[in-house]
Amino acid sequence: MKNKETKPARTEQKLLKIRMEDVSRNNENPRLHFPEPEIEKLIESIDEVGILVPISVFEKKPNSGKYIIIDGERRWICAGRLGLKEIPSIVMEKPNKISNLTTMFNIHKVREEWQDMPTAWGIQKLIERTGNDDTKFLSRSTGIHEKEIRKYQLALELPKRYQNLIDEKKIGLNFFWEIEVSIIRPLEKLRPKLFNEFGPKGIRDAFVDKKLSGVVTDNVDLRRMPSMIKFAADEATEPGGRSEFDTVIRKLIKDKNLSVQDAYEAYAEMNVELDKFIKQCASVVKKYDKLSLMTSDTKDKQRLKKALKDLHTIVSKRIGEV
Amino acid sequence: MVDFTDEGDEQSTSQQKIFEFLDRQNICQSIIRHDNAWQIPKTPISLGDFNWSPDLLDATKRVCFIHLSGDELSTVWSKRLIAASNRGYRVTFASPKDLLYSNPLLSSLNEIGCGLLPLDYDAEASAWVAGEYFPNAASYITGNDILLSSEDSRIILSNLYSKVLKAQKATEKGRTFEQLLGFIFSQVTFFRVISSNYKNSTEEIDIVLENHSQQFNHSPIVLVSAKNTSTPVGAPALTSLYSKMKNRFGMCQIGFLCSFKKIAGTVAKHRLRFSRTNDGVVALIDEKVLQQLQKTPDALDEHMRSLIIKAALD
Repeated sequence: MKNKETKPARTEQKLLKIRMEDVSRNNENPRLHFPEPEIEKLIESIDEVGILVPISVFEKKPNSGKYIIIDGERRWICAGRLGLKEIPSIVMEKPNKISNLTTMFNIHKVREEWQDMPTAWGIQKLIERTGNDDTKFLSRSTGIHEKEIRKYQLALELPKRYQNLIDEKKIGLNFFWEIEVSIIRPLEKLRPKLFNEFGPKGIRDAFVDKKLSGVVTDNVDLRRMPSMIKFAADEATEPGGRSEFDTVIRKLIKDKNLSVQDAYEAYAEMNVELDKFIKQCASVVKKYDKLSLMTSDTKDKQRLKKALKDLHTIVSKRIGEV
Repeated sequence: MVDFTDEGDEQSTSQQKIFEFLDRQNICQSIIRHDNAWQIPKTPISLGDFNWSPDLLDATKRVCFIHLSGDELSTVWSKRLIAASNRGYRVTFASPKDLLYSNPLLSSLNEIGCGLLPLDYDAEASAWVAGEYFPNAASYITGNDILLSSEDSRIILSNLYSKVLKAQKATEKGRTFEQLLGFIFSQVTFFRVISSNYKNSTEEIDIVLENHSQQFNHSPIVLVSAKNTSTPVGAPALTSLYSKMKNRFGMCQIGFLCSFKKIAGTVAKHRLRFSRTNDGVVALIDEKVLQQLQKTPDALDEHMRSLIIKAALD
């Protein structure tokens, strides 16, 4: 994919006082996150001392006298509400379509003024205009961390109705990300048969339904899933093999009212925790062997032996009790 | 109730809700859709030392300010609303209902003298709904049973009292006096103002109260008659009030005959006559009593109880 120029424009600048009606917002700047309490603070400040930091604009067309905001939309909104007639502005060179967009990202996303879906749609525009969907490239162009870029790319793949849920803040993007990394990908890798039975859409729909109905309340709930899926995979010994535990996972996907926590406690917890315990027991001996090799000091070796003997005593007693 | 549809936003009327500037835009559009006389101003209005771009205005010099944050009105806005009002603009203060409970805010709004347009969010319909428009803060407080602190009460009482004093025309005198009384009764914890200026096919009742007091629970309804005339209120007003009390299926045994000035001495005699026929008790409120109520708004409950008991014993 070809890299197109994404760097923001920088060149001669001039400082002007521009009439409010000659300044418009930048369409590449999607909905701003601008809480009213913050608006009020800014308004009070501007009313008190005026606009101390000029906004940045570019001229729509040469000598048109009409300008578009690059940076400072909040100040412009507040000035408008206060009835100011002019606004101090730094006029910059008109950016191209791509640098206009990347400048918006770098200014506003860094300040966390954008919500998730508007950011994702902004990235989509950037991909369309540059023809480049490489994560590293998008991260460099926008100033957004690569991991976040991957989340936005996931958001763009979601069906429209889920994008609306995110946009309306009914379900966060992080929840969809959690479904992807904690359920869909592990199932695809470790339990392909189960994965194919429902498909990523079916799996996603099931957990979104649970979220909307309140059966799943926290994204953290979903983090039990990888250990449950792994347990099934270990039991099956190979990806195509059978595991009794697949029934639990299948039930969890099909049963709308079954929460991950309930499924974990009812079917998996003992097995998963037991599995963990067995591994921990095995690691004790390994650790002992490793420590023995690490030291030649008699005292250390004696301490190690004593620790193991004491453990042996306690364990023997426990076994005797069972 | 006015209904306007607003697509695509999930809102909540919780007091914890933090509004965004987009909410302001959506509410503006909703108000315009209902009453298309409103417009978004293209240029600010000049208010002397400063300008202001109200959220909405119309050709008849109505301006609308939408309040979405805080339980007080900042000076940035109060000075603009006052200046607009002084320049003949009719100011409407629109706000989600959840924000219209704060004493300091309501007190400020009363001082400014703006009308109130409370807004409710209908989550099912995803739409903002405007409630009843109130011509001033006092009528909003009265109509919504909001109890104020004694200090805020005192300020508003004083403000309302002044309005009655300044009133010139007969209708204005009557209206302002009713507002004053409505406010006073709304601040009595065991009364709730159900209706002001109630009318049916045959009668007109100035103020109707719901009575929640245990002590006087034989009268779930209380009627108030308000007279602001230059001559002392006489027996005909008392007779009229008793007649209205009788027409309430026995549910009204307490009434208040209120005069902004004096009540004639003959009223007491006539009241005695009615007491013999168990027609209920009418307490009298005249200018002296009003001044007392105004001075001690923290003791309104006790005052009202004393007035009722005094009326029963007289």
